[in-house]
Amino acid sequence: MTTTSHNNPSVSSLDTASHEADNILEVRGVHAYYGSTCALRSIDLDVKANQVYAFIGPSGCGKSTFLRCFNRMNDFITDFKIEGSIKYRNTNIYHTDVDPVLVRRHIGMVFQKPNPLPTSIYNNVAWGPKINGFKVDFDELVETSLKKAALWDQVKERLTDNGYHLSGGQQQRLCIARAIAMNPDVILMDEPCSALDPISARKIEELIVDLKKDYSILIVTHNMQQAARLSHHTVFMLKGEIIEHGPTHNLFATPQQSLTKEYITGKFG
Amino acid sequence: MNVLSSPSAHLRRRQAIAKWFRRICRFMSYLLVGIVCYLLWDVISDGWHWLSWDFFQNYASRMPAKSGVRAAISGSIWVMAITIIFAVPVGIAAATYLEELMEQSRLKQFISLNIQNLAGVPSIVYGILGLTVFVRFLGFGGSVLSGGLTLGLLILPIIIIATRESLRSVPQTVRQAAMALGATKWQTVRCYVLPTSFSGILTGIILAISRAVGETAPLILVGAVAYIRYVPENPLDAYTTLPIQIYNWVGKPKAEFHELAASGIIVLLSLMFLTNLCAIILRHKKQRTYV
Ligand SMILES: Nc1ncnc2c1ncn2[C@@H]1O[C@H](COP(=O)(O)OP(=O)(O)OP(=O)(O)O)[C@@H](O)[C@H]1O
Ligand SMILES: [Mg+2]
Repeated sequence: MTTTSHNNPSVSSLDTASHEADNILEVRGVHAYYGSTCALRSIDLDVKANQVYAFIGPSGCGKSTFLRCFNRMNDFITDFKIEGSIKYRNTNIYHTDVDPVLVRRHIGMVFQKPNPLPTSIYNNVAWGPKINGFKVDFDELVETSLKKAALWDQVKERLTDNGYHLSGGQQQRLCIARAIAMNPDVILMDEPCSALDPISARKIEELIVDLKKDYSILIVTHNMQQAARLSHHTVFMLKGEIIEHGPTHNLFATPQQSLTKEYITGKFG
Repeated sequence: MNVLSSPSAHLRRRQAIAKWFRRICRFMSYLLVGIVCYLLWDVISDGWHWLSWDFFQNYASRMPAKSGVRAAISGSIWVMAITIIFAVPVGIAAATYLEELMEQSRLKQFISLNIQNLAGVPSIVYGILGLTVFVRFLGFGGSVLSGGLTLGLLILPIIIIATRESLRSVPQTVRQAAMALGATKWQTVRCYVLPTSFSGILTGIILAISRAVGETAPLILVGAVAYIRYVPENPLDAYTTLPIQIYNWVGKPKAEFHELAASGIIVLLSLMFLTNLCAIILRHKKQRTYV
């Protein structure tokens, strides 16, 4: 594996702040607003390292909003406001001294709709590390990342092809390879399988099972089975609030709240 | 009875209206093509026989047979070069700032609105502006530089609007993809947003330039001279341009000069046709690579 990000000087300020805490992310009292409408309400959550967290809940409950808070992708939405703190390895990522660019370098994201960069497959993977000043063998990095994303065999002959010339499922795996190439600490995934056919979806899912050994993964899904299969912890959200969260098998077997029970048994949502 | 076999009176009326609408639209487009063809034929039949190598080699003269467009063509090229050097970088930079980098604010709305308005200001007004600022205040006089900068101002709003338009057509998902990898705004814009909108920006620029090539009124105000017997050698030289040469020939009493004007128009139209052809070719060459 190509884990040379520590050579990168720009990385150190967040790294030195890290000491071996169990919680890689700590969310405290987060409220989020689009203009005057409140999308997230007093959210508290601890995320442990190298675990998979599934976020479930009906459409519009704020899962994507919450996920985007972790890599500050909400910053680009005009009128978006956030209160409270999200600590990544004990540094509040919303502190004024923290550069969001650095946050995104450590906390990667895979979007709902596959969105390759309009460039070659090779560049799709190599560009992120390049602009972030990685000093590595890029050919090797591209190869290992694509291999981890189970895409290498299909694209090794056509690395100079445009990323958009791949199928939807392949594009999504390219996006995952792109995120992995940055060697992130945390990977955020917003319904990564929802735009895909069942077979591609299964491949992505197998891939996530592989990845969860090395990364902390936060995944939004509408698929209860997927949440049950993949995650260590499940977070159930409703109308911008966390109703219940806990170890996945507990939450699905013995939900503490009646709302959770109704949702996971399909009574609403 | 079959419901499909007898259309109601109402449907027949709707279909009749659709048919007439189609006819009217077709007539209008043929009419337009007809007018253009007539104009072209008129100009070409008048000016064709003056077109020769000499016509491109000669300067303006009192004798029709010795007249040519050498000074006018070189002047036009000089002015266009300065216009492009000035307006293209400024226009792209301003558009990129407004579209990609500037925070949403009152000021932004105000600037955008003003740029829209500037695009609609008559060119003579730019002539007056150029006269005040470049010719008098900055003291460039009636030079190529004044003319080029004036036309640059004239097409700046067009370039800015076209560039913003094509930047806006780049999907948001591309920007998100790049930003989520820890790219700065500028890296995102330089590596993906500007390259993907390249063909749109280029088309806008070429259309703006072909507008500037044909401008006459503002150049007369900022001191282009009709009777020039040399090729401008530096930006502070006096100059003439094709449209001004044409305007000048049309104003002369002798019929031969009117034919010369037609020849000049043929040259000018060919020039504009060529630039538009470039726009079309470039647009087709660089198809979009995203969905
Ligand atoms: N850019 C935005 N501007 C304004 N309101 C927004 C914006 N994005 C989301 N919202 C609102 O915030 C709330 C939460 O939206 P969010 O996208 O986080 O829901 P979600 O749980 O991801 O839903 P889904 O499962 O359908 O993806 C919704 O009510 C939505 O209308
Ligand atoms: Mg969502």
